[in-house]
Amino acid sequence: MTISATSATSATRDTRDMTAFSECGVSSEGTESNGEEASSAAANPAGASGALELRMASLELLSLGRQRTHANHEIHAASNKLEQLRTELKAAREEAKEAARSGGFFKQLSGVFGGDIATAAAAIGAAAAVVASGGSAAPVALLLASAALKGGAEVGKAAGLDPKLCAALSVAAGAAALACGNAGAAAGLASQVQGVATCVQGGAEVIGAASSGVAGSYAAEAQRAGAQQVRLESSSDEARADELRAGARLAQLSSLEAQSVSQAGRASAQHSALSTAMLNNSGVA
Amino acid sequence: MIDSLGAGQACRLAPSDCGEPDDPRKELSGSSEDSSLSPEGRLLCQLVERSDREERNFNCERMDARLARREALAQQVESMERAADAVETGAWVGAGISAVGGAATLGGGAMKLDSVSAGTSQSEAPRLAAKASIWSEGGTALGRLAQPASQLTGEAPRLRADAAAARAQARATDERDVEESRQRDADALSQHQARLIDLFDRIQASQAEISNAAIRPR
Repeated sequence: MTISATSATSATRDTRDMTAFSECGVSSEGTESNGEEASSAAANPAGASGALELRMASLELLSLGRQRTHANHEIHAASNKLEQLRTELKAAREEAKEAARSGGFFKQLSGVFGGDIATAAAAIGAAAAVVASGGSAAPVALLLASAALKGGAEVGKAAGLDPKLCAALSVAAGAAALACGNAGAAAGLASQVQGVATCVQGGAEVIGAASSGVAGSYAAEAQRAGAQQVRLESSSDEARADELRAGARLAQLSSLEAQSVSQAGRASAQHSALSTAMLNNSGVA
Repeated sequence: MIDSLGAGQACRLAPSDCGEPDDPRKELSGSSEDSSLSPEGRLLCQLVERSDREERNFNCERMDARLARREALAQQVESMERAADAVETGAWVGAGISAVGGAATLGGGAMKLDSVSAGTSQSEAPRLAAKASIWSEGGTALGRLAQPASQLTGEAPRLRADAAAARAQARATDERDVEESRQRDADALSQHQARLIDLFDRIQASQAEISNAAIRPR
């Protein structure tokens, strides 16, 4: 039986319907007819038209049943697709979140190395350069540098800079203060400090640049995951619309089927009444 | 029934493949021009057939809108991916230039240290110091170039791609509106058709009743 292939409830009804039709000479396949019925129908035009009506009704029911099966399959397929898309969407969201988190870490790293450390090293280097080239003004410059570095360390601490960076600034300030007493030695030391500071600045810039590149890469990955989300969300919308449409179609088909069943019932009753009437008429004659 | 993408494609290529009859008159002759039907029945048949054709047209238009929306969404996603590529390119270009600058600065610092070390001769020290200064300054200059280069290669294409994505999104929204509107139209027509068919059935039933009454024995 084709009609009853879809759901349990409809199957019950279909079985009942098809039992009724088989009584009228229509097989469950809907294409074969009872030979006895056909011959009696041929002998009896009114009976023939009634039987034809019944057969048409049963064919319609079969067709509706097939359509309903198809609609059910579509609902099932859309549900499966929706479920799969939901899983993919969740994965894409997770991916975007993870990429954003990793990107944030590297961005911070890049900020510390390329920003804080490199800037502080550049400032130290510049101060050391002043001392190294300052000659007699060196003690004053060193005093200034010492004050600046100390102040920088405190300001940095207050501003929430890296504690290690603040410690480095404090140490540099101490060294500058110690060097204040000997200007000649201070010039040599300042040159060395300048060299070291420049090296630190360069190294920090390289690390900062690499971190910045990685952060950019993660940002791009997060953006790609966002694009994937857009694509999946649109597919989900489509699948949801398909599911709804198939559901509406199924409801419509069920209603049409109910109508066909009642129509077939009426035709069957009419057919029986006519056959009885014909028999009565022939008996009277 | 759910329309597949294939059906929509067919619809766009050849509207008659989307369920429209090739020759409308041929379809009319099948039912509404059936002489055994009453005039009311024929009229109803014609109405049903017409609304059926209109419904198919709406479905075709809906599928066209859906395809257009898919295209627009694909373009939006493509643009977003292009923007992501631009972000990555810009970041790496900037990072590369900055890293080269940092390396140059590092080299300059090393030369500076070399120039002040005890092993360096008095004649070589100024030359090394000058070299160190050039390297350091060069590194700083490269570092300053990193951001504009990054913007040129990353930010500008990203903005262009974002604009394209926004345009595609707007188009997709428009097409979605069209699709939903056509769906509503098709649903309304379908309901209208169901009412017509119901009416037709009732007319047929009453005619059959009249015919049967004529045959029944009195």
